[in-house]
Amino acid sequence: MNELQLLALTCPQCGAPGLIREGTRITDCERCGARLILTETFSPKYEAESNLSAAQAVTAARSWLSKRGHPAMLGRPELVLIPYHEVSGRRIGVFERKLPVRREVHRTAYSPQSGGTEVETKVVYDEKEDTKVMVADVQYLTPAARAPWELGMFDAPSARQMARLRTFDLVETQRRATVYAEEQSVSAMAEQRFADKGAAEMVAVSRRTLFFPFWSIPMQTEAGSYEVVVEGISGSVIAWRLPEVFRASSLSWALLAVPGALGLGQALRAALFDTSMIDPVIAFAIGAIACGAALYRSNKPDWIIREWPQPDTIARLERHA
Amino acid sequence: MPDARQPRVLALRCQACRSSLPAASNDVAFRCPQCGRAWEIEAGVLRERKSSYVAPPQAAKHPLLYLPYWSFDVSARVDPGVVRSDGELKARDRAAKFKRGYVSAYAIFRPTYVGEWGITYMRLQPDWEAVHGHGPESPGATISSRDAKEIVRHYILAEIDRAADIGGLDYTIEVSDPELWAIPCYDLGEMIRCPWTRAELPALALDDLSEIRRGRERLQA
Repeated sequence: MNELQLLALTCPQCGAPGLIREGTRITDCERCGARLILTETFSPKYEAESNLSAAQAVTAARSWLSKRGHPAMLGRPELVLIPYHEVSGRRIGVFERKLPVRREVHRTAYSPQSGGTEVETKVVYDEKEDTKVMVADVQYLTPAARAPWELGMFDAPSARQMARLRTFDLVETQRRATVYAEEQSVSAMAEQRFADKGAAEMVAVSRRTLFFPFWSIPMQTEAGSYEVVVEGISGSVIAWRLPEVFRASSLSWALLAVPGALGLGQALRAALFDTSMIDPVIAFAIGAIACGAALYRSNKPDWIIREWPQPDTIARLERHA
Repeated sequence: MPDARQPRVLALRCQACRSSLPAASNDVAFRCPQCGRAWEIEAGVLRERKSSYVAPPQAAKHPLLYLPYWSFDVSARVDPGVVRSDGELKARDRAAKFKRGYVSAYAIFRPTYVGEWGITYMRLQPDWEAVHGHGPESPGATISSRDAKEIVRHYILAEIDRAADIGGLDYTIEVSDPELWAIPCYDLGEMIRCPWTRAELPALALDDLSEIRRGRERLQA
């Protein structure tokens, strides 16, 4: 769970002690009113505003479920904020490289067939020295917490592009949402990402933590209570866990019971009256197998639980722009 | 004696007129709304930078929004060799054209993808009159002037490289001290439009736009 961290500070103007929330950089001195700012490397926190209200999220989930033929009672949606670390900057540098240059070489050769000369053309590739100036954007977005569902289908870079950001306030946010805590610092991730990039230099580096909104909607079905997760920016379903009902499953045991009863009936008839339409051993075997299958099927539920996406089956979507 | 474990804190006041400096979370440089001076956090203290603003076009039809840019006097020179190729001559002419370089200093999402107007202004070399002193309120810069200086140098190099491979060129680039400029654009709601080039940026690409707009509304109120 996320906890509010407070940092102690001293007003440089009046010397009064004060506190600043972690993830906040600017505060006012309570005694003299001076605006104070942290000067050191700082990773601000932002919340990506949800474009969907709770009702719209339920509508999106219901429409998705009806397309898949899953009638379910949807419960009260819960807003969940999952942190992502964003590290961005500009990579600049001057690089030497070798470019292939295509060149045609023509050669005149004697042709014994025609008795004259023919021009043979051959393509040769030379290497040309070239210098490239690089000014490129770099952006990494990585989940900073383990979500209760697989986040592989959440396209964080696209959501980031569409998201309206606002300053994150933990106290205010926790009143209306479940907020997951970061499990790794953004600075550690930045060091890991930007280590050993050759001649390129990273400038204008910005580190921040973005909290993306997700609507977790519980569903009540015949098979129990499950959930569907709707992404709060684009409104698409990114994860679900729900029972999949077998078609005509309630009749399958009856269909198996019919040959079972016939087979056992034939075997019994042969034993009692010594008259049978088919071989009594075969009839008994068919009857026993079919009855066993019918009993087995009637004791199994008519659904199986499917989860999507399966954990760790989808590579995480990360943008390296 | 401050505690060594405590974060280093600075009072955000204009060192000249003592008025409070407006700042957003990511800002490293600020423009004083009272006297128009610019201050940048460098090595834990506020250092003054030259500050100017650009007057908007006279027939401004939309609400104006001033955005911060680092601006530099630049001098680029390419000396063509004895055997002067067309590319070298083109590179020489292109380098001579650059008198001022610009780097956008606001927080923008993927600037070279959605549009970095600093490069555009550098290519255009507009004939703006830079006005000093008290002027419009402008948000702070999120990029340090040191980084901006490196970026502007690479912008110029890239422009010269488009004419001729810089690997074989004899060139010199001089970039002056940084100046924080406030350059106006039109705030169209969903889009931000440049009055001179009519280029547009999606408002969502500007990370701190909501804070910038709030600041402007506060000032107008």
